Amino acid sequence: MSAELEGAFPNVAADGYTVASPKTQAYNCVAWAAGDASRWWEPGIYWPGPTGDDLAALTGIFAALGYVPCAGDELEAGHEKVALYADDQGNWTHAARQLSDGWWTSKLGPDEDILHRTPQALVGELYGQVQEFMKRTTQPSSEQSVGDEIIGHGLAVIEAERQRDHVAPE
Amino acid sequence: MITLTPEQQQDVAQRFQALATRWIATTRYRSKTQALRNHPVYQELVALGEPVVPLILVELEQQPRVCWFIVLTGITGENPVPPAHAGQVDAMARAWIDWGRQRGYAV
Repeated sequence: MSAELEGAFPNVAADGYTVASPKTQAYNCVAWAAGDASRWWEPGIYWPGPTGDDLAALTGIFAALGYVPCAGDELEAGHEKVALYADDQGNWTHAARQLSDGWWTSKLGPDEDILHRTPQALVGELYGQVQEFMKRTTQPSSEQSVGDEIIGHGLAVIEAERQRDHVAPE
Repeated sequence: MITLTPEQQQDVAQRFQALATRWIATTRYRSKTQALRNHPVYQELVALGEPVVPLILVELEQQPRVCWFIVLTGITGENPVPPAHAGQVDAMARAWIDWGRQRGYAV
């Protein structure tokens, strides 16, 4: 696990997480939550919707993708959810996407993807609070990629356990 | 293009490297680099001006990072990235490097 990551996100270790990718600058959290691993989605760089720093700009992006506001982070069969974060000025900071096993996937800016048990794992000084949940009917086109993510999730957990088991006892 | 003495070049390069390290650390885990335009490190980088443009282009050639695009635009006022490549970080870096070479920067 990563001491730097756990320092930046004080709740993440207690919540439970695994690092699921190498670091890459190719895409960021909004792109990843939207299912695009080929672009960095940010106003001024690439932003397929009304531009802005506030949460409305981010909810607008996901509304355009078919998401509607919903109550919370509970897993709902047949739906996929995103959690949208904002700071105390109301500016969006982060987006995470729920997987079909109930865990969440987040791309941490220019760094790695992680899988985390709940959206609360990333609340804090850097990303602020979860301010909005949105959901849409699971897209047929996303079923394969979600399946791949679940397989990747399983492999990441197995790898983490393998590394832990190979750490020599002190 | 501003011409600097070797001593001035060395001074700018040293100041740039120190700020670059801080800038990369500042933007870590952040998906919104544009929101950091008021950050003191960004302001210091932009204040170094045109002499650091070739240094940033070298950084982009070695490792494309989104955080450099806003600094380059902040210094030059330009954005040479074609709309079709918006958001594609490697292609954006190439567009900036090509822009620099067309203006005679050694990249």
